[in-house]
Amino acid sequence: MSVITARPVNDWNPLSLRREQLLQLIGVLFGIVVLLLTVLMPLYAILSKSMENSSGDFVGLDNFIEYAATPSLASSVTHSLTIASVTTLIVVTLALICAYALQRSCMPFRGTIRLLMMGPIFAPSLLPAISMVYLFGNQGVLKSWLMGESIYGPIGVVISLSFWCFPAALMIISTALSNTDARLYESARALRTSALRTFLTVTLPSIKYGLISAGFVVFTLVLTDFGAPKVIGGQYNVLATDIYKQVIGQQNFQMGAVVSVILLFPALLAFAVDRWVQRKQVALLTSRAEPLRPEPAAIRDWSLFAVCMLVIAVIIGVLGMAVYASFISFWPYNLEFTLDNYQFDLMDGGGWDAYENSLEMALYTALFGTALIFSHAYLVEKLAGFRLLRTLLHLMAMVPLAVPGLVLGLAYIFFFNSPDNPLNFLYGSMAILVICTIAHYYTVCHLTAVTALKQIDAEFEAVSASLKVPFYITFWRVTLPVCLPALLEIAIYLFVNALNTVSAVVFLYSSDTMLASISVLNMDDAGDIAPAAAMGVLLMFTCIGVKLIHWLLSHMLLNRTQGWRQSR
Amino acid sequence: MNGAYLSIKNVSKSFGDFTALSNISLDIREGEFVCFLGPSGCGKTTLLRAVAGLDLQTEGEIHQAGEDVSWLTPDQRDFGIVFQSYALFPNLTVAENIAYGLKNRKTSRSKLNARVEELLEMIGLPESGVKYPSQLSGGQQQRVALARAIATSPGLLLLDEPLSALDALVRVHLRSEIKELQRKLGVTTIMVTHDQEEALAMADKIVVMNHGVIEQIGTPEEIYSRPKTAFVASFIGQMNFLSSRMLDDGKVQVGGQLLDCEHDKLFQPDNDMQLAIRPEDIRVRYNGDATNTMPADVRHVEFLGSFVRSELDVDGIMEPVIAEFSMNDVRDLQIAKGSRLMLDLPSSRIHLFESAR
Repeated sequence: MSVITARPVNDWNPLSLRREQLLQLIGVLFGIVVLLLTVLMPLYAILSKSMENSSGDFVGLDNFIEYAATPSLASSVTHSLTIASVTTLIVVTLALICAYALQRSCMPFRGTIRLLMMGPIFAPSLLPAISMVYLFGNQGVLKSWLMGESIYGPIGVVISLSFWCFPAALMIISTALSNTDARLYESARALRTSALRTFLTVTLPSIKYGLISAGFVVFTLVLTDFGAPKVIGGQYNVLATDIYKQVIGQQNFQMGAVVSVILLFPALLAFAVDRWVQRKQVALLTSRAEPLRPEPAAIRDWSLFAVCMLVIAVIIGVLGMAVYASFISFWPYNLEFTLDNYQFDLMDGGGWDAYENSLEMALYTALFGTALIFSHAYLVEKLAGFRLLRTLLHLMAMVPLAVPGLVLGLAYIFFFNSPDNPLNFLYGSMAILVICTIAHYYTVCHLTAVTALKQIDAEFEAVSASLKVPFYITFWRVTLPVCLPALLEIAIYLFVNALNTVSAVVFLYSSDTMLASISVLNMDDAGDIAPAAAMGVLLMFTCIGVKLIHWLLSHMLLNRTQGWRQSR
Repeated sequence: MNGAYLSIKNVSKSFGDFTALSNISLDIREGEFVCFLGPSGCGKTTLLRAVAGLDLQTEGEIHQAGEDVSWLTPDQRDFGIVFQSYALFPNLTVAENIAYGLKNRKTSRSKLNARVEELLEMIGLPESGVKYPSQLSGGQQQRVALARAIATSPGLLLLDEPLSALDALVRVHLRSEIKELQRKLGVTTIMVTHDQEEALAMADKIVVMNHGVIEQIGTPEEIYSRPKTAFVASFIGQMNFLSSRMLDDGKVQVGGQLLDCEHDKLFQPDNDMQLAIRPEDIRVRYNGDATNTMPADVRHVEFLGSFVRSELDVDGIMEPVIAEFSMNDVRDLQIAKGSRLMLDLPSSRIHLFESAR
């Protein structure tokens, strides 16, 4: 019966690691080293740079004092905070109404409406800003709507970023609204509670953390976005454009580092709040909750429908304007249809090569990023030993969320361009763009992977061990197939973001690795606004196409695995 | 060596300040079916996971088949395990699940298939090999998990609350099946459960645990009829507890009543104690062999099918006493709310415990 092999009792030594454990240890250590090299050490480089003078001597906080004493710079702090607060207020309010309509009403076409509302997520933040120029700019079709105000400034930035951040807030608040227990509402009704009081005592508390989380996500996005203020901000300085101007315009790297460090603070705060909210959120849900099925109520449903239609009209209007403008000869004088704006090779800004580079970069990012992030998440979540190291890896994986893209990009210059760094050869290559983009979007993917891993039975590894099957076989045969939807999701997220990102890579591209998103920026800068719109539109349609492929793939996958997948 | 298949010696486990297991020692013979029984948080699962090597103990040794396995990883030990959640691989068929551990041992394909067929037969699901776990009921899934665990013929089978996620009827059915399978295979088995009925029905030996210590080890009969501690008495079955006092002459005073008790424990005279007796041990019919008789009023009667549970007001005793009478007793003695009875509390059925402080 017993299949145990005889082994001398005393030969086991806790220090002699076995092959499997050694593999796991190497995996965890590799993850730690990767994040150390791609996130923490660059951040250290930028911190130390902010305390150096131009000849590299340590000067303490002198740079910060100089910064505070320069009114043109210090005003950016106020500007950034103002824009972020106003945008957050607008976006969260709108997203709450729309999410409520989607989750808690019986209005028609909810699926289609949700889909259309996600539209802005597929375009770089530059695109709505370019659209603003066409809509409300000096030659804009709707210029009169601004009643004499200029779109170039806070108004344009707020509108563009509200538009761009809306899908993120909508998703978070929708999720919060979907996590509810119908019995709470039935109890409230049985106790004859008024609709308003039910909203205040049942609905609001249950989505409180979702609202806070959405607020901070939008706040951080606005604060750290660079594309929209660059295109439509005019003379209105914000922190993100300051970094760019200091570094690219004035070659003042120290001051760029100082602004970066300042930009880190609000992002860190948002990060801390988000972590706190996540922890609270979990405790709120019970497994026995009954899903809420809304009942029709004509007045509520149709008024919410009207609001949603308005929002969709704006989304279609803004995106449509960009698409339309990209096919027009010479706005607004010659409205003839043309494809000239798509002749990127004739413009300054990298041409079609830039688009190819972008695709290549996005593909590598999706491929390597998914493999790297998922395997690290697996090690963090499913191993039994090395608790301390695993916690360290998890904490390090959380850091990128708090680091704005521009800061990371600048940090990469300081770290990788240093002649003492043996990794110096990466500078100016495609590889550094991929590495930087993976690092930039690491945390969200890590959390997606961890969530997916948490959902599968915690005892798989224990069962495999008892059956003497090595962990990597179970990883390959069970964990990976079960997590395939999450893997696809991570890959798509990385691909879309890699295609649209400007902030992190704007400091890192070389003439050989020009990217499409950056060429939008450069063409707009050079006054070639129609080709800029065209490239932005091209990126958007690429993302939508990829998303479509993703949708088809996951459908095929679900059909093939329907036998064992119970849900859906 | 003492001939035990599994020896747990002075095992302790603490998480920071919290002591999950404190100095546990236990021997299990080959082929024995042992239940770790206790309320949630008593340390029973922690002890099982220490035996499996899934969560190592802080101190102490575990020997299996004469070998010190205390610090071995799970895959270096010899056991099969079944979890409450089944932990079946959802993307593999039932047959692939069962073959999961066999495949790795480089068994030939025909042998492997034959073994899987044999196991499917054994668990009564001969046609289900091609199905996926989600297409099976909970009870069927747990059977597959069991087949997967015994497929490699381990020397030790560990069951972690295997029946807790199932419906009451399935549970009763499956527990006799598991017990029969275990007897047939003769595999040494440890099952963790919080369900006393399950433990009483299945185990050769029950280990009652509370707050990280073993309260009592014994056969189901011993545990039930001779509980060593007040905790065991209260956790298993129903028990009346009455505050009482030991008198100089060896009699026990409960309120205004004096009772004779047989007991082997030493109690100081004049000490506060707890007297305990099970509801079914209180008699209303006796033929002159009564030891402790006393009158009582029936305050309340609860009909439970084959018997009634009644709440009694015993003369001179403040606390209500619960007694269970068969339907025959009820009919013959016309027991109903308000009727007056003469009870006997047999001295051999009375348990005495230290008073809870």
